[in-house]
Amino acid sequence: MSLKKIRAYLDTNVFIFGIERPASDSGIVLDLAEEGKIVPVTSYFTLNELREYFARTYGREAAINAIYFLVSLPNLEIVTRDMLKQEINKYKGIVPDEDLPHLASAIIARVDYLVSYNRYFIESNAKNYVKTIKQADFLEILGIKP
Amino acid sequence: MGTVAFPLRLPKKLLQEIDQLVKAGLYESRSEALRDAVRRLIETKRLLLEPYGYYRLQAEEAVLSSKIPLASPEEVIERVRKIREELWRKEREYFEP
Repeated sequence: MSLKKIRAYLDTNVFIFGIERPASDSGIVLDLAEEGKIVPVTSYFTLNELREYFARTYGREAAINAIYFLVSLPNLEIVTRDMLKQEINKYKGIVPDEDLPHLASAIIARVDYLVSYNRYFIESNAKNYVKTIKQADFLEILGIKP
Repeated sequence: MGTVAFPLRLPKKLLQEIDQLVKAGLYESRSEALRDAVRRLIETKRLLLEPYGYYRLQAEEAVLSSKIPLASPEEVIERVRKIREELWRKEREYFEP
């Protein structure tokens, strides 16, 4: 019998912290994604944000490698811009507009968790639509960290 | 790190080419040339088998080699927020009903 893998929408900050600090909780989440132990879900917007952050902070090469890393993850699912367009307005007002693409992507992809350090997800009504948790809590749920 | 010797059979032509590289001063010895070749082979094959591991390492090395002090988690979140707002301003129109 195969167990259902946890589907987790990984917000941009998971990738940034995980690459900048490989030993951090985010780094461990990325290890799990690499090992195929979770189904990483992300979106068109995450790709753009990751590219911009790394290009502005560390340069173009770093940005390219960060993007290639993300898109080559095993079992990765990406919510596209077109998929979002059909659904995004249903969720308007729950979180600040700029966070909406991520919340809507997580809902559309029917993830088990939205993993983020972003307080707008953690402290908002987003939790009525999808379980929003920080990296450390996600690892605790998986039994990896006490 | 210790090294291990093992027998290796190579076509004469290939060995001659390695010797030319040594003679040209690119390597100090046949062994050094072969070690470099094996390292490159592993790197290339690793890219094919586990591209995510390769690219993650490259991105991590770019961060380290930049010698830019890491921002605090709160600063990172703030920078991402600015980027998020900028990108949303560009994209917003596309999503309007």
